[in-house]
Amino acid sequence: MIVVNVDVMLAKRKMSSGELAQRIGITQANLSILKTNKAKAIRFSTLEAICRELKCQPGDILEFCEDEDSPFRRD
Amino acid sequence: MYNKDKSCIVSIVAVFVFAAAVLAACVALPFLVKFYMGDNYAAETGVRTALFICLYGSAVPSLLISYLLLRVLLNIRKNVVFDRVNVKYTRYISWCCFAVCALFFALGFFITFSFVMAFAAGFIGLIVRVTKNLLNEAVDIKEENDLTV
Repeated sequence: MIVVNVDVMLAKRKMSSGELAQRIGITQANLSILKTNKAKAIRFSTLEAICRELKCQPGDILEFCEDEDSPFRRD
Repeated sequence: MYNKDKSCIVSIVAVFVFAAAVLAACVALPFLVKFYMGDNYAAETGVRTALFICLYGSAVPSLLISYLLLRVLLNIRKNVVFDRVNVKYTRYISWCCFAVCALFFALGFFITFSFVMAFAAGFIGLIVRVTKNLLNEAVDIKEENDLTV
């Protein structure tokens, strides 16, 4: 599965999630969906905005983890 | 002019008319059966009993369908449209149609014409079932859309 590490990056940049949500123009609720790994997809525009505001690469906030029960797993 | 809200209200009124018609038919059923059977009313006890069981029996799913349709329509008015709750209600409606189908199929062994009614009820149930499958897919798509950030 893909793990979202936005909160780690937020801590590094010492930014609150409310501020990030405001800067990238999404609601707090949607940012919360992303942070709690409930999101099913992320738009490139959102990813771009997050990377711009947190000054990082997509790889810094998205991480691939080997997972037994992932629906996308190939045997 | 036509709009979504008015259309919904028309449907709600129609559901109430339908439910009232079912209730009225329940009240008038003894007279209707007497009228339908004519001179055979006293003699053919088997057919008479079968008619009563089938018609009163199918009133229950019919009223249940009215209630479920009302719930779905009220949900739509509350903007709860593509929700698992509506899928569940639609599934119950199709089961009710199949229940009516079974009752009329059984009655068919006493009055052959009722096989036609059983076929109609079964077919409506099938259509509702396919609609339920469609709605289920729509709910999946909506969930995916809601969880796209």
